[in-house]
Amino acid sequence: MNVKEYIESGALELYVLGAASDDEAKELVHLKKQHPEIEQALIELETDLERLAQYSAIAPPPTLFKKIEDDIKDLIKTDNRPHLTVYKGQNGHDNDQKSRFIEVEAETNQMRIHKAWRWVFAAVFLLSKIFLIASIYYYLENRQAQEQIQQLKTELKQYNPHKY
Amino acid sequence: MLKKEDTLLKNKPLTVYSLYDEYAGMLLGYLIGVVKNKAIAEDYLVKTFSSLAKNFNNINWDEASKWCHLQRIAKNELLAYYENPNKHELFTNSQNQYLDKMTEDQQLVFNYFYFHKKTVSQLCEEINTSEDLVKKLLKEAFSIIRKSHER
Repeated sequence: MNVKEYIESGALELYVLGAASDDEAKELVHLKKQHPEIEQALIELETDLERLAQYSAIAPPPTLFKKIEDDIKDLIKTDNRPHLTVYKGQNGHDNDQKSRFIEVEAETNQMRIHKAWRWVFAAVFLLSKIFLIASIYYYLENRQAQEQIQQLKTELKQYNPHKY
Repeated sequence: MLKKEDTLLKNKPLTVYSLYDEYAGMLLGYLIGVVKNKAIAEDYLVKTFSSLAKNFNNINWDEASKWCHLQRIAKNELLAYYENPNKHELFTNSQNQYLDKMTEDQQLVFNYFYFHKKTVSQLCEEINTSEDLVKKLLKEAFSIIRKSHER
């Protein structure tokens, strides 16, 4: 690429005025990193624009920065409100199906967990039932055994009353 | 602990303020050139600096000069104004030592891009001319600005 021709093409002037297309701007950013002449030409054009603006400068009223501070505070307060997001299409138009819905973020008392946990909960439930049945079974077994021991003791007493 | 807004006022405005200190006058002059009304221009100046504070960390300051960044933010804020059919005519002659030395065509092309946020193809379509001629006129306009300063 001929750098001089590129500088003379007018592409740099369009870029500094923000009139270049996205592709042209990307190309220029890429080229200015490779060619210091392009970077230098851009700096000079930016300086030209700055001089022009300096010539037409008008001092703002002293209270204006206070207005800016208040505006920034308002922006922050707005940002702190609950988020309300409207889905929009690529060009900023409400042109797809989602645009009819508004996503609202709010607090809830419910909890969402991964589906895999249902098998863990089922296993815990099943095991608890097995332990319950087993404990009832062994309780009854134990009670029956105790009764038999008591019965045997009574029988022994009858046969050998002096010993007990 | 500092509240979020206090943090922003204590940190960011140091930089926002330095930019304001250096460029607010230039930006106000530029905005008056676009809207032809001081009160409306001041409103846009507030909007421009608020937008700057909000997007401060997202701006790649190395990509262009600070003035160019500020001018681009201002142009974005002016989009609603540009779309207003009751807006003032942009291409009236202004009292400016740089612009006064340009021919009518050079001034038209330069003002179109300087005050507006439009592309070459849009201008070519509007004034029915070629892209090469637009670029040539723009280049000439920039050389006039540079020569006027050097004198």
